[in-house]
Amino acid sequence: MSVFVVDDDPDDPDGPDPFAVLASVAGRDDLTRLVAVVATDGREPYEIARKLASLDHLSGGRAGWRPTGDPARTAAFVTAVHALLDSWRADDLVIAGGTFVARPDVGSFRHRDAYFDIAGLFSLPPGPQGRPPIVEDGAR
Amino acid sequence: MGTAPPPPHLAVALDGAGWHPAAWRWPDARPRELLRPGYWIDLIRRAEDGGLDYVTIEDSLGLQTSRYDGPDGRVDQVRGRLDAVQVAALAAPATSRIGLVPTATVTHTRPQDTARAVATLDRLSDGRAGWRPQASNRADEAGHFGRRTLPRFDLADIDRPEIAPVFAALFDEAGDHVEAVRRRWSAAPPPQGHPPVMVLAHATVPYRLAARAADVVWITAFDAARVRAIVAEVRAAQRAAGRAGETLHIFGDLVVFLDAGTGAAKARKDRLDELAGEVFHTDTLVFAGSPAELADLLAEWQEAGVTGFRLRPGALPHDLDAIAGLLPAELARRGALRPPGGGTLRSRLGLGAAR
Repeated sequence: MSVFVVDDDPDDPDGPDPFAVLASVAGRDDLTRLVAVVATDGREPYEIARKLASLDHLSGGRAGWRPTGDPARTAAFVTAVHALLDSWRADDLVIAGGTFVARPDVGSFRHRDAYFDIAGLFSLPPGPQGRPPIVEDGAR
Repeated sequence: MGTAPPPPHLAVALDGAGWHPAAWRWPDARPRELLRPGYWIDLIRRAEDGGLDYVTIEDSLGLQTSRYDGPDGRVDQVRGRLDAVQVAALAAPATSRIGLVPTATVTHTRPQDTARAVATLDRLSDGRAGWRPQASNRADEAGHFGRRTLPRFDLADIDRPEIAPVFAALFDEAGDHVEAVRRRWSAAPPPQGHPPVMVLAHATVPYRLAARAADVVWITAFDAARVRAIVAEVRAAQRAAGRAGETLHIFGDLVVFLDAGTGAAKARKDRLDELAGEVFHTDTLVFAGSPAELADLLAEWQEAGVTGFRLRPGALPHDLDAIAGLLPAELARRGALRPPGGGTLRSRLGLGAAR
């Protein structure tokens, strides 16, 4: 089993975008796990949840992530990302007989804590894993 | 008779199952694969095989909607969409010539993140990346971030005295975002230096953004007279922005239903309208006809001043197959097909070195 981890240094203008790099290798099945490091400082749960769900779809359920940053905000960040990934229900995609989604408020979410106060409709159903796993440094 | 203009640039706009709201219900659609990698690789390779200059990939921070200002609660249209930069990155190693142009929302997002994402795509594709900055006025998208609120308005409201300054500020901010991205790239240039910026514009305020910050502007219109008027307005804005000597492409943006026989495409579009329960109208011309009729229309719009076209397939893969197959064959017959391109997207579009 192999793991491909792409680091995240938002202050390095020459550094790669982890999700774009991982999407470009999503078609390769010799890489078991595609792990994006996510520096949470200054980032928003909504944008990261979208990217994680996209990568999980494109890799057929092999996405993982490693959030880093201020511990308290990062813990809240993970909880918020999970709330977003849980916003679609398993039977929300109908795709038959003129009905694409099961309800008008598909993807609806509301999350409030000390760090985040967000609400709306999440823009895609989660990928095969639902919540892509958090892969700690050194884990295989 | 004047001299014939050079053959037009051609691009195709990919989104979901196509631009007709009922396209996902057509028999050869693949609605259960819209979130799968194989679907996108097949479509983008088809566009490349047809010799098209670039493919665009739609995106938004919020769920798709038929409304300009927020969610519509509809359950009979495609909902759920992949991140456009990731779709383009997925296609990069699977293609070798076609330009890859994802949408990136520039409201609520940070320029350094946009700069890194597009620069990474440019490296992954050996200089075939472009990008489309999109301003968002949607109150629901603001709610996803919880940072600020925006007044709710529709396109019909943008000239109202209380809305006009909000609309202008949104696009000023988009222009600032693009310039901040460019500054980042000056410090650490991706292969093209500055991957081309493309803007969809329907009104004076976005025309000014295009004149200030874009390499390509996609314009919407319903007839050639309107195309001519918009081209004049964009060129005047380009001069006013001090960019008269630079290449700024103006692409006509239209929806296309295309079939070989006369009347076949119209019949297919009528059938899709029946499935949807309403006649499909959108922000620009909806063409349904034969390759000869489409080639005539493109020639007319070129005469009115555009240098290329972004064609939105009504249904996928059907109309993409026609745009990549029947249309180039018809243009070649008329001596109006560009020779196969290669190299970077900038060079393919004749944009020259980055500013």
